[in-house]
Amino acid sequence: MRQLSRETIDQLQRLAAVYKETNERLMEVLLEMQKLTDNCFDRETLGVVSDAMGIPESKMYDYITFYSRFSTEKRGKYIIRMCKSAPCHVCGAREVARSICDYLEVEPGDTTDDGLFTVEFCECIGLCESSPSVMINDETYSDLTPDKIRGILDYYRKEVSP
Amino acid sequence: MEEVRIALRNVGEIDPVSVEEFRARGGFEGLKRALSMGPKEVIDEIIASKIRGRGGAGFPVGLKWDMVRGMEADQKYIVCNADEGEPATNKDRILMSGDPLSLMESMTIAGYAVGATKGLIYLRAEYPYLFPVLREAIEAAEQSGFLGRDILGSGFDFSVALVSGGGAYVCGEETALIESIEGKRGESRFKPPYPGAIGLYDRPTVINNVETLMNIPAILTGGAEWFRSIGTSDSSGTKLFTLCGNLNRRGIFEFPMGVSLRDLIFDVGEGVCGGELLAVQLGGGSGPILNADQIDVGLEIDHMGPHGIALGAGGVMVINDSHDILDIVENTMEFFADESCGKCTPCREGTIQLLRLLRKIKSGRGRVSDLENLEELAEVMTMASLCGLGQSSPIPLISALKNFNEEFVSILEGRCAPW
Amino acid sequence: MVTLTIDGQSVTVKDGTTLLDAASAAGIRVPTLCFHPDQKVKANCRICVVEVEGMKTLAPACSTPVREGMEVRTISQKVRMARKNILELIFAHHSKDCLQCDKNGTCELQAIAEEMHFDYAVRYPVEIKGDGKKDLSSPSVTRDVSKCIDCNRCFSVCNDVQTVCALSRSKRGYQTLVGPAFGKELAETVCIGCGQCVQACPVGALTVHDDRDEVWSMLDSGKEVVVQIAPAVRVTLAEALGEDPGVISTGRVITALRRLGFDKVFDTDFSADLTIMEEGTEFLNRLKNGGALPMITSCSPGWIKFCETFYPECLPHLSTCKSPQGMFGAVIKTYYAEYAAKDPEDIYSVSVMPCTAKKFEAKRPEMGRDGYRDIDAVLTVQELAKMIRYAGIDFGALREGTFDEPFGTGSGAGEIFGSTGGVMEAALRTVYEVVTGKTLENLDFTVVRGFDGVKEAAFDLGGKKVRVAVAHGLGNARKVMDAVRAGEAAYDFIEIMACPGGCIGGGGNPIRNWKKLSRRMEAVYRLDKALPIRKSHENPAVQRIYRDYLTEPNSERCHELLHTSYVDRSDIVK
Repeated sequence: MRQLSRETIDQLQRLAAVYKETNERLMEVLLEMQKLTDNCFDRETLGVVSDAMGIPESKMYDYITFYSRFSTEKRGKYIIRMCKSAPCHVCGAREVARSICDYLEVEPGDTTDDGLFTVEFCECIGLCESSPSVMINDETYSDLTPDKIRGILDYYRKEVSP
Repeated sequence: MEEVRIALRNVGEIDPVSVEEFRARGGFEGLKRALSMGPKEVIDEIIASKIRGRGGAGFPVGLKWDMVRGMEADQKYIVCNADEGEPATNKDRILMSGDPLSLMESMTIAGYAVGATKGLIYLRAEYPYLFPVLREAIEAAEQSGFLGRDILGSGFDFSVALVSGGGAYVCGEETALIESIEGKRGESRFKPPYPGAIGLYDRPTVINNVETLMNIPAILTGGAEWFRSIGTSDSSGTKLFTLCGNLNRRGIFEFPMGVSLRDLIFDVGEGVCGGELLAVQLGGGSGPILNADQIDVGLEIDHMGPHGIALGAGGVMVINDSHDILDIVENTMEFFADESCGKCTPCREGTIQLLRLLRKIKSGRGRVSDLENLEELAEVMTMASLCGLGQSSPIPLISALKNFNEEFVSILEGRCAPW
Repeated sequence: MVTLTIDGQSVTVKDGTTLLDAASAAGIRVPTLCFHPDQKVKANCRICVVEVEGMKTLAPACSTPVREGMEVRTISQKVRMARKNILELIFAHHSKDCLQCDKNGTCELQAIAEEMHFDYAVRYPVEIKGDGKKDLSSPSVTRDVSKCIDCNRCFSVCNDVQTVCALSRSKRGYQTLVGPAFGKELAETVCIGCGQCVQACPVGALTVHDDRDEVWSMLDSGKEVVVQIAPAVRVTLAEALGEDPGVISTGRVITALRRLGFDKVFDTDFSADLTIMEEGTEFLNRLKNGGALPMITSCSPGWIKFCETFYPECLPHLSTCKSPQGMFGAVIKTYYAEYAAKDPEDIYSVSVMPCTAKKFEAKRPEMGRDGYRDIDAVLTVQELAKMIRYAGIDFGALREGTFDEPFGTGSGAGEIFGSTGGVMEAALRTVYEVVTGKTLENLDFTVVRGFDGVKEAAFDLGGKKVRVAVAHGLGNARKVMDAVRAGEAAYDFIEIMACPGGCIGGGGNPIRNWKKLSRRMEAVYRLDKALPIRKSHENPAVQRIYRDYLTEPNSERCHELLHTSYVDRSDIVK
C-alpha cells in the first residue's frame, strides 16, 4: 500500500474543508481530490479522505464505486476514455480502441508501465456527431481514425509529458 | 431544408458569455416580460404554449410548474437536467456551450413562476469543459443584475449553482439525479411521490431538461400562440435532432415537430455513407431500432405510429448495411447492463440477462425458446422496473426483434441445433 | 378515508395507506422481500408488484399509495408472470443450496418460491454471486454473499438505524454487491457484531455465527457442562420454537437444557443482580469521589465495541463492570469451581444469549485467567431453539424445571435487564435504598420503560438529584454520545443498549419487528411483577456470594473477577 505525501494530505484536507462548508459539493470535491491521488481512491487514500471529510469509509466507498469517474485502483496520469456507445461503435470505435491498445501495448482497463496512460472503455461521452471520439482526461478528440489517435498519443508522450 | 432555430437562436451568433451581445439579440427580454407579469400568468402562458418536456418523457411543462407553484414549502428548487447521457444526443452540450445565458434566463423565469429561489444545473461529468463556460455565464448574469438578489429591481432573488455528475447515465432520470445532487448514489426513487411534491432535499422541485428550458424565453417574448403555431397540435414548437452514425452530414439541427425522418436522413443528413441504409435508432440509446422501410414518419413526441416510434431525446443514429444488426443490439444492451443503477431486481438482473441471452443467440447457440424468453423478460422489465431506465431498456432489443425478425430467425435456423 | 377494490373486495382505509397495508386490511397478504415493517420503504425487489386498473406498468404494493376507486388485482396472470420472472432473475445468481442454509425453513425467498411452485430450471445463464467463500471472520455474524438478493435491508439497519456503517455497497447494476468496503471481511471492519443485519436479512446471506457443533461435542466430552441463560432468553425462546411472541418459558428452557445434557443450568439473573451491586456501588463512588460522570452502563457488548471504536475518548465514562455474562463466567470458573470442588479446566461454561455480540465478548482476552476462558461458548436463542428441535424435544409439553444452586435465585431487577431501561430501573431500585436507607414504595420506574429512542428522567436520591438517560439502538446512542463527548450531556448515569428495544431485540433472537418486541417487553415486566424479590440487593444468592467469597461490592476480589478494562479500537475507522 502506498503512502500519501504530507503535501497531498494537506491538499486533500483543504478540499475537504470546502466540502464541509456546505456539505453540498461532494462530487466536485471528490473529483478534484482524485486528481491529486493517482486518479484513484485506494484503501489508504479513501481512509485519509473519509477522515478528512468526516464521512464513514463505507459511505465513501458506496458512493465512489457507483460513479464511473472514480476508481479504487491506481491509474495513470492520463486516462484515455474510449467511447464504446453505439454512435461511436458504428463509426469505427472498435478499430480506434484497438489502435490505442496496440500502440500503448495494454488491454482495456490497464495502465501503461510508465504510469502515463490508463485505457478505459466508457459509455457515451456526448460527441456523437463527430464520432468516434475519446477523452484524454478533460480533453476531447473526435473524428478519429486509428492513425490519427496514434499521432495524438505521440503528442501526449512527447509534448505534454516529455 | 431550412432550420427553424428557437432553442438554437443564439448558438454560434454570439460570444456565449457576453451579456452585451446576448442582450443585443433579445436576451433577458423573456425574463423582463415574466417579471412584469404575475407568476401565475407566466405559468398560464407556458401552459397555453403546450410545450412539453424535451428530455424524452414529454410531460407538459406548464403543468409541472403549476404543481410546484401550488406547493407550500420553505424552499423550492429549479433543477436543470444537463446530464445528457443518452447515446446519440448531444443537443444540450451545443446549447450550453453556445448560449449559456439563455439557460440562466430560463431558470430564473422558472424560479419566478413557481416561487423558487435556488436553481441548480446538474452537469454530466463527461462535459468538464462546460463547467468554466457555465460558471462564467452565471457570473456575467450576476454582475449585470439578471441573477442574484433583487433581479432587475423586482424584489425576486434567484441563484444558480453548478453540480457535477460522476459518470452515470441513470442520473439523467430525475429522481436519480436528485439523489446524486444530495451526495448519494444515483439510484432512482420510487414515484409517487413526484419531485414536484417531494424532490431535492424533500422540497418541491421542478426538473427540466436543458432544451426544454431554452424555449421558455422565446415563448414569453414570442407568445404562446406563436409557439403553438410551430410544430404539430400534440407537439408544439421545434425539436433538436442529433444526426449521427453513418451519415454524410452529421450534427445538431433544429426543426419543427413533425419533421419527416426520411428528410432528416436524406436531406439534412445528405444520405447514408459507407453503404445502404440498414437501420435507424431513433430517440437515443433507449429508442427503437427501425428498418429502412419505416422511415416515412413525422417525428413528434408521442407519435406511436405503426412502428412504435417515440421521439425520445431526438437522437437519429443511422446504421449502414455493413453492420450486423445483432452486433448493434448487443452494443446497446451492453450499455444498459453497464448503466443500470442496480436498485431494482428487474433492471439490475434483467439488463445483464437480456445481454447474455442475446449473446447466446448471436453466437449461434440459441434456440427459439430463447427468443420467447427474451420477449417475456423484456415485458417484465417494462412492467415491473422501478424507473424509466429499466422500463425502456428493452425497447431497442424488442424493436429490433420485430423489425429485423428475419436476421434473428436466420441465425437460429442456420447455426443452431434442432430445437 | 379512501375506498378501493382489491381482488374484488372493497376496502376503506386512511388516505396515504399503501396498497400493501390496504391489501392486508382486506385480508390479503402480498409477498414481499425488501419490505421490512421497521424500515423505510425501498420498493427495490419488485416482488410485491400488483396490477392496477388503468396503469400501464405494475405497481409495487409497498410504495404505492391508495387512490379513491382504485381497482387492484394482486394475483392476476400478469402479476404472476412478473413475480415468476423476478424470482428467476434472483435465482440466476443465487446459490440455491437451501439444504445447507441456516435459514432453511425460515427464509422469505424460499417461502415465496414454494408458494409459487417454482419447480423448473432457471431459463437464464446462472452466475452465482461472490467467490464461493463465506465470511466466517466475525465471531458474531456469518456472511454468505451467494445468497444475497440486494434488498438492502441489512444496509439500511447497519447504516441508518445502528449508524455503525460496517456494510457498504460496491459498484452498480448487476455488479452491485452489498458488503464491507474493499471486499474486507467483517472482522476487518467497524462491525460491532450486534447482529441487527441478521435480524433484517430475509434470506441466508447474513446469519448468526453458529457454535452449535462445538457445544454438541462438549456435551459428550465428560466435562461438567454448565449453562447460564440470559433474562431475555426466557421471553424469546418459545417464540423461536413457534409459540407466540412474549410467551414466558423459563421453566421449560431449564428442562430442555437438562434434557440436552447440560449438567447445571444457572440463571443469568443472578449475575445481573451482581452487576447492579457492582455498578450501583461504582456509581455511588463516582458521585462521591468525583469520578468520570456521566457513568455509562457496560452490559451490552455491542455497545462496548461501538464506544471503543467510535468514542474512545469516552471510555472513562464506561462502568468497569463486566456484563452479567462476563461476571457469571468469572464466578463459575472460580467460586463455583470451589463450591463444586472442580478444577476450572474440567468445567465447560456455556451461555445462552439473545445476543450475537456476546460471542465476541466471550473471546475478548480480558474474559479469562490462568489460561482458561470464563465463557467457553455462547449460543444464541436461535441456535438453542435448533438444538431443542434437533433433539426431538416437544418444547410445548415440557415440565417446568428450576435453576441449579448456588445461583438458583434471581430478582425481578435481574429479569428486566432484558428490556431497554431495565438496567437503569434495576440500578435505581438498589441505589435508592442504599443511599436513603429507606424502602422504596413504588418499584416501577415507568419513565425509563418503553420504546422511545432516548428517555430522560431525574430522580431525587435522598436530597441529591440524579439525572439519567436511557438509549437503545446505536443511532440513539450516537446522539447521546455526541453530547457526552462535547461535554454537553446533563446526565449522571446513562444506560445504553446496542439493540433497538434492548436485549429482547438482540440479534440472536428469533426474527423480530417492533410489534413482536412490544409483546416481548410486556412479558419482561410481567415476569418482574410476579417475583417475590424485585431488588438485586435482596437476592439471597447475591448476599451469600458476597458473604462467602467476594466480601463486599467493588472489593479487590470483585475488581479482579467482575470488572474489566477497555481498548481504544478507533484505529480501524481510519
